[in-house]
Amino acid sequence: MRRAWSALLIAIGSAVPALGDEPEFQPPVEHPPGPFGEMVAKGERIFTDTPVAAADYVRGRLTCENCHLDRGRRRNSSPMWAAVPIYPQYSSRSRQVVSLGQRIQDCFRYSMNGKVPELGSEVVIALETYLSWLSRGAPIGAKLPGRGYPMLADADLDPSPARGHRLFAEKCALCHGSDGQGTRRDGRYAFPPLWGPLSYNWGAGMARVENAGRFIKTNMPFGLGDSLTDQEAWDVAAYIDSRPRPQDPRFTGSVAETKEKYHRDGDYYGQVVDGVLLGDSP
Amino acid sequence: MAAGWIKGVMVIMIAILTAVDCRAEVTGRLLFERGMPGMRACADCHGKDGAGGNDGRYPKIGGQFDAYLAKQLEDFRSGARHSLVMTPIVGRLSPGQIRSLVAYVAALEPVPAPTAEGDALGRELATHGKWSAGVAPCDKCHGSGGAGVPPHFPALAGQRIGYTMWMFEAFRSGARRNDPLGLMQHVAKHLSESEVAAVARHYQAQGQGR
Repeated sequence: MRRAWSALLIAIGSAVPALGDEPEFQPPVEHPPGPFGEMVAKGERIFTDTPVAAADYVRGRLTCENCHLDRGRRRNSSPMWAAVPIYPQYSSRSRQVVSLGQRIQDCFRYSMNGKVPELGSEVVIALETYLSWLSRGAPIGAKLPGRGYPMLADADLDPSPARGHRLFAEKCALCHGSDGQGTRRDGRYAFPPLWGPLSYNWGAGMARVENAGRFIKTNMPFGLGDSLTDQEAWDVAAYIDSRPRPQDPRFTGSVAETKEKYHRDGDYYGQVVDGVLLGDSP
Repeated sequence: MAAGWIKGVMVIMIAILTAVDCRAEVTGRLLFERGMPGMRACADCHGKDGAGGNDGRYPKIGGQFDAYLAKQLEDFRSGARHSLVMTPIVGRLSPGQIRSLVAYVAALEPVPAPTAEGDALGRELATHGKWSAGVAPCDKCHGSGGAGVPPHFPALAGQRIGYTMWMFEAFRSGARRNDPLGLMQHVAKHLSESEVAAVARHYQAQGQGR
């Protein structure tokens, strides 16, 4: 009996990894062969070169990979292998349960500031295929370590666009330009525009200061992630997300009404910053 | 009459401006190919076509972006980048001469690099990085195929293996610290010697900068 108990305890002990030592999901590396593999490759191309490979559905100049680093594989960069297993899920933005395909449509509507590809269109199927392949072996419904962008500590000081501006000049302008409009090379963006007409619109998750701060903290400056303090990440996010950007596609015709309906808190929509009423540009 | 006079002045002014422009170009070329009293010609080490030499002791510079070249020369002058060879040379040049030289070198047609075998590991690191060690893909900043992203990220395509490896060692040891935000020092500290060699082989095989 005692032996049975200790065997059980050992079994439990080995099944529960030590805290902070959770085994991490490893997405596959080699594309599979055949027509399925071709669709995987197509999806990966759309993911990493979105304005070119899905040109009909993109008005901005961002790629999926800009916010989901390393082709959607990078831990703490909202990796796809941790997102796919938890769809369908309730979306507070849509106020309904959405499928993976519908979530992809939302990326086009908001982050790409584009036209929504239909469910069943090749663009959506290619992306669904790529993302599902990346998630092969991930347990359905599991909240995997490395998912999303890690939480930030509450800001000690209110996030400040002015402090963020100074930091931006020091650490972000190198790649994104002092005007935040990115750096082009041969017509393509080597570094994406962070506000203005070619960036994500007011409905995008990244337009919310906390989301942007969480992304920035872990992933920016590119290649030097986790080098800013939480307060610095809040401040840079506040600066970037208090610049003009394309209108929210849910715009009702009035900034005040759209703010009341969709932007009550968490972003700068409808506020006047540096003399500009945000949410007032097309 | 008045119109003819104005026309005459304009012709003379255009002639002067053209001459000044040509002189800058000639100055750059002369300095590069012949040097001046007390200063060796750049071409003596970097080659007349700027292709570099001596096993990478002298980098390929022909066709490199002007902003990057100008910053390196300025850093040699200020001491932000240290070189026993370059610091005294740059100290002898006037700001105008530096501008002429930079313009001349940037305008050189990049020459084919000495052939190098492509390298599978080097390609993987260049295009996909080594994120498990926090190293981003080289191409993300240096451009597809190492073509460079001006003004801050130099072209690597066709750079000599020996020079690339030497600079990684300098970034790793802290002998070179003039990289913006310490981006390269970080990378250099997180790649092994064999990974650095693979990346260096990959970029030399990428042919032309620009």
